[in-house]
Amino acid sequence: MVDDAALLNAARELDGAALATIFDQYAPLLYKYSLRLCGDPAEADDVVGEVFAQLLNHLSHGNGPRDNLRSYLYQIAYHKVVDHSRQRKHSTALDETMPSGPAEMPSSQHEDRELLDELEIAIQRNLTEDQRNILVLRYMEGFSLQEIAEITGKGLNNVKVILSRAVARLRQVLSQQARENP
Amino acid sequence: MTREPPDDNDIARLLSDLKDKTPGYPPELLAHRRAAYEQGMAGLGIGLVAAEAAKGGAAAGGTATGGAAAGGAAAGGAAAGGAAAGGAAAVGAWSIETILKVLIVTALVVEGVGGAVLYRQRLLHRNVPPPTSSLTATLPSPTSTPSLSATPSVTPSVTPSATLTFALTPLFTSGPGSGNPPTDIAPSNTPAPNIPTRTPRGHHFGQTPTPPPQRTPTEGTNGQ
Repeated sequence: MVDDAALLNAARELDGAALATIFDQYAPLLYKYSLRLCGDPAEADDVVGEVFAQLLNHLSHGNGPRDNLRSYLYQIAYHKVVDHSRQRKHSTALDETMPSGPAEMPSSQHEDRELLDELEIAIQRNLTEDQRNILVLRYMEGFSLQEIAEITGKGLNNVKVILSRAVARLRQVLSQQARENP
Repeated sequence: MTREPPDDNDIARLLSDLKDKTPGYPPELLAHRRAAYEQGMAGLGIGLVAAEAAKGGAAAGGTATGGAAAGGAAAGGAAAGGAAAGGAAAVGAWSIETILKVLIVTALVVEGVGGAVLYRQRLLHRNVPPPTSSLTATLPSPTSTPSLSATPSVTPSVTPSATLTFALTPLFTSGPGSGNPPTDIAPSNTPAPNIPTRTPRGHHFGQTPTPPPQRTPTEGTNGQ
């Protein structure tokens, strides 16, 4: 993976190779991130297109990211996903679009696979949009709390509160299902 | 077999596992999206073809394992190609930007000059007096002009002559026992109107004049 700082410097000078490398490096990651949040492949693809269109627009006007390219791209993607989710009323359930089957997991992890399925459903049905976004950014994309605060535009303490409530809610839902389906 | 309720660590681990479960970008969607991205770059004047060529040259240099010298030469070629690509992209961007600027400035100048010329012509047409040829063309010929010789002559023939005669006859005669008013009052002795003369003391009309100050013999000597 090319160094982000060098890539960003070249991209700010509108270097074609650097811009192409940024796309190849981040488009799959942004697609996965968007798909986890919206659950629709076509919509996730649209989000990726909008993110890179905005990147080109910013760079061509001398704006754009200064230091953290990754946070910058995820920040745009986050806002695009939020915009899309406000536009559509009924979200597609994530488990309908994600292929899942025993071939993806070893047989020894059958119990974990059940838990993963329940977790997926709980994330989509039992969490608020903010909780879902911050949970995905923290545990699936690996951002720090400070970076999440910058991406979402929320305060650091607010991010901590939302994250702890999201985890507590998931734990509550999964514990309830464990009691009901022993 | 009972399932234990998960704690926070279990949830964090499950979420990490869930990350790997998300499907990747479908190749056809990715290719389509990349083509659109390249179009956007081309719209900005960023030459991706040269950049791609440089990238291909760099890849070839990276795969060339024949020798250190060959690899170094390939890497050098790739660097030169990259520099050339950057230069070409910069020149392309500069030329398009410059051409657009020149076009915009030219259009603005032409529009301004055209507007000024049209406005000037309108002003000239407005200030010039109407041509006389049209008026003379409508005037009748001098031969057909009717001769009018009416000269106004007013001579006053009435002279006003008025003579006013006044005859004053006395209505009463003065004499004792006649019961007539006393004769010491002449008709001409009408009392003078009580109009006070303006005094230098600043009295206003209609006010009772103050008596002039009376000096005592001791005044004005300052007690001496």
